[in-house]
Amino acid sequence: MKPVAVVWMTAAVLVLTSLWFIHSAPPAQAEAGAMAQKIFYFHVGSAWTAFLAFMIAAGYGMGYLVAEGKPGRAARCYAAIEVGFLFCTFVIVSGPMWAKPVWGVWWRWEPRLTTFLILWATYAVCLLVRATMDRPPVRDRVIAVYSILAAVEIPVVLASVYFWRPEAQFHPPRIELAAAFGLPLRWSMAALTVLFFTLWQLRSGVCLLEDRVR
Amino acid sequence: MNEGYFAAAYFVFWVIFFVYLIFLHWKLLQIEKGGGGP
Repeated sequence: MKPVAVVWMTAAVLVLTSLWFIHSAPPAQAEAGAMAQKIFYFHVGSAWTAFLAFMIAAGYGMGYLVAEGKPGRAARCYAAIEVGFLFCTFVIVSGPMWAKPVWGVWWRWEPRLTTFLILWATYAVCLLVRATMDRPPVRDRVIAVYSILAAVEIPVVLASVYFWRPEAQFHPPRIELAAAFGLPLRWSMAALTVLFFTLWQLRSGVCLLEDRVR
Repeated sequence: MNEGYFAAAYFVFWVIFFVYLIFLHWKLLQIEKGGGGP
């Protein structure tokens, strides 16, 4: 079996088993939102994966600027941004679906949600840069610099629960999880991380091919 | 009611995932035709 097939199968098995874990995990709340709370496992897992993707993009962005002319690094930088953006989008979409039954509102301009939306919009601009700039060396340099600057937002999102007064917060500063919820969460995070690396490899290859035929 | 939110969220996840795979496949078809696409 080809290595790429093994990676895809690993990702598929992990994601499917994580769904089984999520389904069999006990609901955290007995009252309203008992089932909707289970969105949490992929919501948090996707947020973690998006942060990891954007940090990897910043790393490859730095690598590209240091050793300019290596298109492989530029491709990996952009591919990490694009795949990370997918996970970021899922966080933005799934958040309100969890918030409505649990908090009673779809959205609120509280610090974590607002900073995360800004993060999503920042990386959306990066996708536009790739789609609209024609000359690869200049485009790749812009995306590399952009990936580093945009990554500064990650600690801002993480620390947003501490920046503003507690009354403005919907998100808790820390999540204390019982063992019954910890395993499905960690499993989901691992599954989504492997899925990210699988998609990242695929997208990096497509980016390189695109530039070769351009 | 809550099951609906749960199902909708996971449905959206798979939609995003499969639409992205179709997008990448389309990109590869464009490359095979000789154009890099956007």
